[in-house]
Amino acid sequence: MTAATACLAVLLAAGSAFAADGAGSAGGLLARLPFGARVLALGGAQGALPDSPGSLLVNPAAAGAVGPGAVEAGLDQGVEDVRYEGLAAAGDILPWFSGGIALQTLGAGTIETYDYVGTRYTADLESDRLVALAAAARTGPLCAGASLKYVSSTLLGTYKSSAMLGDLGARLRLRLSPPDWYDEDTAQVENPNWLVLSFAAANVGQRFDYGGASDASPLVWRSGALVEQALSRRARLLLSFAADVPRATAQPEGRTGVEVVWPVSTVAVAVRVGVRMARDGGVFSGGLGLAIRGISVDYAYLGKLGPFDATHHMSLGFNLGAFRGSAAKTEAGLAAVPVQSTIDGRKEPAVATPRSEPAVSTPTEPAVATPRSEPAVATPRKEPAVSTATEPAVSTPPPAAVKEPAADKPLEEAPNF
Amino acid sequence: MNVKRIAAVCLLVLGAGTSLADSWSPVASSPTPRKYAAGTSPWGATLYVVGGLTGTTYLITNEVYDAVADVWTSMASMSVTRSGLVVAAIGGTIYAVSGTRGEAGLADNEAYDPGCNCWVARRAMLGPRRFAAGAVVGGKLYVTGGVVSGTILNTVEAYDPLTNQWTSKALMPTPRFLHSAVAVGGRIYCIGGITALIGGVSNTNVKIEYVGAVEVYDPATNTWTAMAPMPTPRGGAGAASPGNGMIYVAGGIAKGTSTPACERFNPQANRWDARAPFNLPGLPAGPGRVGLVVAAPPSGTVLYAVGGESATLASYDWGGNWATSGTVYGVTERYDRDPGSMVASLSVSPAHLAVGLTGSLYLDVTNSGDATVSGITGEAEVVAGAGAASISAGPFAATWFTGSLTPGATGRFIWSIATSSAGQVWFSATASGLDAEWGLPVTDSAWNDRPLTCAYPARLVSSVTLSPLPLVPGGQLTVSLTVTNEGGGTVFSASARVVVSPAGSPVSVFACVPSSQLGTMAMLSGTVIINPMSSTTFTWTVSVTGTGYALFTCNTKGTDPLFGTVTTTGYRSTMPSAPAGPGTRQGDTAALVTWLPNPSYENVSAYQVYRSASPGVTSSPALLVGTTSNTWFDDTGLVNGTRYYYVVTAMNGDGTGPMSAEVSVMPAKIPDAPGEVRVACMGTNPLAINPDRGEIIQFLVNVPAGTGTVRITVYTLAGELVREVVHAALPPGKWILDWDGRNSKGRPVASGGYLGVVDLPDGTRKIRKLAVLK
Repeated sequence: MTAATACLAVLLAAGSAFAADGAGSAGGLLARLPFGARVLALGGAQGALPDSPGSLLVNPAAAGAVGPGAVEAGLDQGVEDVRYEGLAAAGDILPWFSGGIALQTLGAGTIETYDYVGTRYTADLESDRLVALAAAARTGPLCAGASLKYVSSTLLGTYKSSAMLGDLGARLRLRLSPPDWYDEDTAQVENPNWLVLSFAAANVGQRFDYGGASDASPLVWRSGALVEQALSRRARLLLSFAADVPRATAQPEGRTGVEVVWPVSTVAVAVRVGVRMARDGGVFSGGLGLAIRGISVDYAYLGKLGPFDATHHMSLGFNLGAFRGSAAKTEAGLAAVPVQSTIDGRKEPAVATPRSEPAVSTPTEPAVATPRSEPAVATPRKEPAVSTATEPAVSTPPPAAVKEPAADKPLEEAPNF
Repeated sequence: MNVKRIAAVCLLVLGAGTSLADSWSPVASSPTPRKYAAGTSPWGATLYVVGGLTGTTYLITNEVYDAVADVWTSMASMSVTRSGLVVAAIGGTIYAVSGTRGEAGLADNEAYDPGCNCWVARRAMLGPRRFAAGAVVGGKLYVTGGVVSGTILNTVEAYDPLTNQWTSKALMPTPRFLHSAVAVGGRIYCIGGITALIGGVSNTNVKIEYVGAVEVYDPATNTWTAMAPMPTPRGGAGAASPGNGMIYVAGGIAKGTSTPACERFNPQANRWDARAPFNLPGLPAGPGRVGLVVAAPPSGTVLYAVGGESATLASYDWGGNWATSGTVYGVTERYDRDPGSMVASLSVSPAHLAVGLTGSLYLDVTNSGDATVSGITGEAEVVAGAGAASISAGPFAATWFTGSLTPGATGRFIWSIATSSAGQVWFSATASGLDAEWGLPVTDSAWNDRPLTCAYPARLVSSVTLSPLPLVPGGQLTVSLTVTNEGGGTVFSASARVVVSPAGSPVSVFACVPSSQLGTMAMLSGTVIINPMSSTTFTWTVSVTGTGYALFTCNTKGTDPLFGTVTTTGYRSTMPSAPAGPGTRQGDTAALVTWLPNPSYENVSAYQVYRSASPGVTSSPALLVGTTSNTWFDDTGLVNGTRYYYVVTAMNGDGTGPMSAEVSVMPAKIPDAPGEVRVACMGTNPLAINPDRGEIIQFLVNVPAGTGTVRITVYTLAGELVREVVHAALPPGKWILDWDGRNSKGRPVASGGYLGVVDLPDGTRKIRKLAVLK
């Protein structure tokens, strides 16, 4: 955790270097809002979160941690009747390269004012749109990404402003040692534990101008750390931490979340809790997730924020990698075995087979045998085309290995979150 | 020094001689040397000492001391070996609670029945602790503070033996352990202890913070109150109250070394004083003892200090391990309180006596002893000093608010005096009483150690008049300054100066009277004498050259030989100046216009308010909307949405002054229903404001009745706090409250939507959307 501490220290030092203008002094609010029920249930601790296409809005390097492909749609209730929705998709384009796209909208309802003789005036308060394109490249445990955002805003239904913003981010994934289990027979690591660190400079770019004085872009320094811990061979625990420093306040906002996933047969159930600590108080959150055959439904509840009521958030997601795994499993008709690590959606250790199922423990593929130093990355037994993204030596297995895996190597994956 | 003064001094010496000193004396030593034991003396002359630590051995044995026979005997052992415990008696039972036998802390509770000489387990505390302190009030035992592991506690638990239940009470403000708790007057006083560990990352570098803080707990209200801190911050002391309402704290460890200091706290007077330090028999004063037991039998005159350690080193580590090293004793000492005594002091009011003045002579008496002094009487006499006898005082019948003084209390005798001629005088006074406990006479005397001079400083008062008024261009004006000496001293070398302002005033001074003091703008004199209760008038003749107004400021200065320079200043203006600081506040079809009052010397009789619907208001009679003697004007019957402009003038007997600066206001429609809130934008856009142009958002609030306050807070659409705009207790009615579009750092917020949260006194909350567009 020393690296995480250092990362936070750098972040805070960078934040304190700003001349803080105070809350509300930056434009482009939509570019700072979290995305998706899973993330919000974790208190918004999104910086290093895997398997979440919406994370590319926080750190473009997250596009490289989604896997073969995933789509996430979110419907979020803000304070009062503020609503914002989002749609994000990301996936691998090349073994070392991933891309993503995200759309986000915000509607703030109707404003009502009166003049001094009592005449009533109404208008749409604010309507914002955001489009983001992200690209990420991986080498070894490091993934770096960049994204370009176009943010447009309409105030009072008439006054418009737009700006181009850019994000730069990096993500470092480290396997914690020793692993929980090492199968001497299969030379595979099962349920390894991971540490992921992330850092991003978000929303660098143009100022927002509605025709008068312009406002600074909502620049945010973000850092995150994530620990994935295998609780058993079937359950895993995810601890996510994030610290954001908006330029406007130069005050760090801490976010922490915990997710526990239990695969049950072909279904995975997740329970999440989180907390966001900011200058004006803390907000507790919680949520549930349900995933089956690559399709996930998530719900998040955010507690009272200051004087505002609690809010509810829903997300619907589809994970291509998990969908393939589930399909194979169903065809094989075997009992489910949890994904062993989905830390960045690549599922490389998921093929590890319990000793109780010797039919799966077939070390008959020396070409993909895993070196002991990095077994978790190098054992693409179920998803070779996907899971060897960081190991070029095994990145091009015969197509048949993908097409017909269930005949003699049944896949035992649970859906991802 | 005359005979009476000598007699007064002798009386003072004799009074001091009646005071007996408090003292410590050895009695039979406890058979078992022990430290960090606990004890109580709830009935008779019997002292129970329970548990403790000797060397490295935690004790389970207990002993009882018979003060009458001066003999120690053993009593039944507890079932739990421990030190650092709390012992207290409720009814006929002694309870031993908490403590340690080397671990983090104990929650055990045992009850001792002297009848069967046996211990019975009772319900354990809610949580373990050691080195806590406890006291009994109302048949319940209150255990405060302590330490468990490395955590210093401020929690409080109360034990009710009738229900055999523990309950949590209000937290003690200062976490601490090794402190003392003593019950006096139905309240529990927690004193001293150790409250924090400062610095150091290793066990050896931990610095111990001893405190002298005194906090008193009232079980009736379950509240804590801070009182005067103990002069010697320390921990591990013993404390008890021998029934005289005072608390005695003895021994303990301060700055790492055990101390013999004994200090007394008077809860009524909230005051500490030092008492005789205890000492080991045969040893010089200095080493003191820590972890001793101090208890007071209910007989009310003595304390006992048992055991403890003469320690030269104290340590505490992050694991919560407290240790002292030294010699552990079983020595027992008895403290005898001193009897009542009095300290008297004398004062006279006013401090400067003046001829013909009526004043007061005060004799303040403080009971500095330990016993109540009753039947106190006071006598005073006046002795003529140098010069003529000057004071006609008497009859010296004193006014005395009470006839007795408890320890530490102060009373006052009051005599009326009157002066008849100048000179010097001495006073002496004596207070006498009887120690209610010891039966000894107590007395003390006081006198003024320097003769009081019967005199009074000169005091000048100015009065300026102008005649004739109003000013007539080309005419003359006489400025008369009358200076009166209302004091007792004569003023010599009086001089006066007049200054005319503002610049460009239509007057000029060309002469003054008397002619020997001619000057242009000033008059100086080395000969004017102003006797007490007499006046002198200075006059100036002024030529009027134009129209306008002028202010005359007349300064006078003289010398009182006894008290130095005396001065006075008088003002007078021909017409008032323009009212300053005009302002407005919106209303619903109404506006409130306010301004600052003019200086009193302008003799303003009324203010006139002029209004126009367009800028450039003049003081035309057609625009006059009101005349008032107040500094505000409530203009009603206005049209909402129309901007009105106002100016104010002041008038006095000389005429009407110039206009104030112009101010404007636009009345607004405020909701008629209580609790309703509307938003209005004061700018060019009815839906949004631009703070860069000074535009503001106004909350039009009909404040309902309620017990709360009105609070308006602005947030971003993401729920981030931008600024608290208003937080005030406003009476019910129509109000307009502003937000200038700036955040908590005073900077204009960005263009966009915002949320205004309005909390009302009746507990309701309204949220309104706001827009900023720059």
